[in-house]
Amino acid sequence: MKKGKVLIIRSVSIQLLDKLLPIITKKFGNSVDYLLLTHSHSVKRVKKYRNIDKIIEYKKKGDFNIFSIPKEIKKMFFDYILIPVSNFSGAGFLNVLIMTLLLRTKNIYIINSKGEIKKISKGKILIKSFFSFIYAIISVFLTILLLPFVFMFLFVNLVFYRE
Amino acid sequence: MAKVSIVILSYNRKEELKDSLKKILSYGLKNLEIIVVDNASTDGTKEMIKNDFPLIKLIPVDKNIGVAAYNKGFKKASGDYILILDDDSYPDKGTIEKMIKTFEKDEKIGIIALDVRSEDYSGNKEKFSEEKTNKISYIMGFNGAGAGLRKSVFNEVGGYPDEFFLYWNEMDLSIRVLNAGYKIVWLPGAVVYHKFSPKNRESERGPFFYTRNLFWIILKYFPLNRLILSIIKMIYLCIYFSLEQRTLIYLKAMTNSIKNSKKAFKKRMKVKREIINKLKITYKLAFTIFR
Repeated sequence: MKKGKVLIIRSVSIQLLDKLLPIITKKFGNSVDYLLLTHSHSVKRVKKYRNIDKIIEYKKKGDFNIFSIPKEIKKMFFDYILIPVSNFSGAGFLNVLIMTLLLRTKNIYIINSKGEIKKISKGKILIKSFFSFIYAIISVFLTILLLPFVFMFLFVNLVFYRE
Repeated sequence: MAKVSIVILSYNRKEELKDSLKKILSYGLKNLEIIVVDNASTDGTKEMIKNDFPLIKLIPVDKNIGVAAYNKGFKKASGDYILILDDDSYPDKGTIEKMIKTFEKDEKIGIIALDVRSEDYSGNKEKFSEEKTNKISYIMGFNGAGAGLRKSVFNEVGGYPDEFFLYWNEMDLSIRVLNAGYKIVWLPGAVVYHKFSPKNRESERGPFFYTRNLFWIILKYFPLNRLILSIIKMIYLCIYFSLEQRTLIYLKAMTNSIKNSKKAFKKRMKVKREIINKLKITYKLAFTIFR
């Protein structure tokens, strides 16, 4: 019987995961179960990982979101949740971080493209979410303002592109 | 055995390329042509090819033109099948034979996505389970660090988009290949190793081309209703992530794509709706590689 559970959310390319997985398994050792949450289209491709004990399918297409969390993982308790990110800071992965708020865990980490593992608190995710909400409102407003100009320009270019 | 042309695009990775070429040649394959297109490297790559590998065909390009340089190699290729590689990737032993066998089973296979795996610069490879099957799966895209392309399909649909420079070029080619009625398959166990290393993510080049070219993919191939919705989504994402990451790069890319949209419209074509529906375009990808 293994001592704990580590959930890895596959939020990066398989090729980057190839590189990060050995770092994760080195840090958390062999005494835990590794579960990998991944989109349906990549299930076959992640079967190659020997250290993954269980693959959980994320059936929805597109970005991870809180409305499509598989029931199976909602019930589980995870000792650690790991989010691999494809940059240094984790910018652009807030949707995955927000998803972890609805999962049962006390330890959320990101692992960046250099292989650095950093803990992130639920409080920090909530603060980021608050700012995200503000940015979203501003972005909607600015998008509505910009749209007529963008489409007008695109229309002119489409009509006259041969010239 | 059918003839294979390996086409490699090189740019300032002399040592990695040398290492890859040595490995490929050590397999002793017959009926193999190797073409290196050099994108104006300044580290002595061209000289290294001429001196150390005189039998390899070198196509030098005057200035770095990005992935468009691959097309020069594809045109020159005399093989029935082309193996596309990066200058830091190389096929495992047996991969080329598996690729040929798969192409020859079905003439509607246009592209074979090979099993690209990471190898770090010290030569360490992640330990994987042995592939128990060579069963192919049908997919919608491929990784340009290791893929097979049927030469006749290249002649029919063309190669990478000249206007892209970098990124989304595989998706662009995939759409044209699928639209022409060919298939893209993933071949597990036909391994290509890629010396993957984290790039300088502060560089603005990645997010710029990722964002701009996604706009162009939408303008080139999406039906009008999807085009409108996707452009709205992209504008929103560009503004949102500019605020979140405190950068102007996404807005620059958006402006550039719209200003130069004629380049995309010139190549606009009707794509079967089921292909667009099945595409796995991750809009947010462009916004997750910076910083």
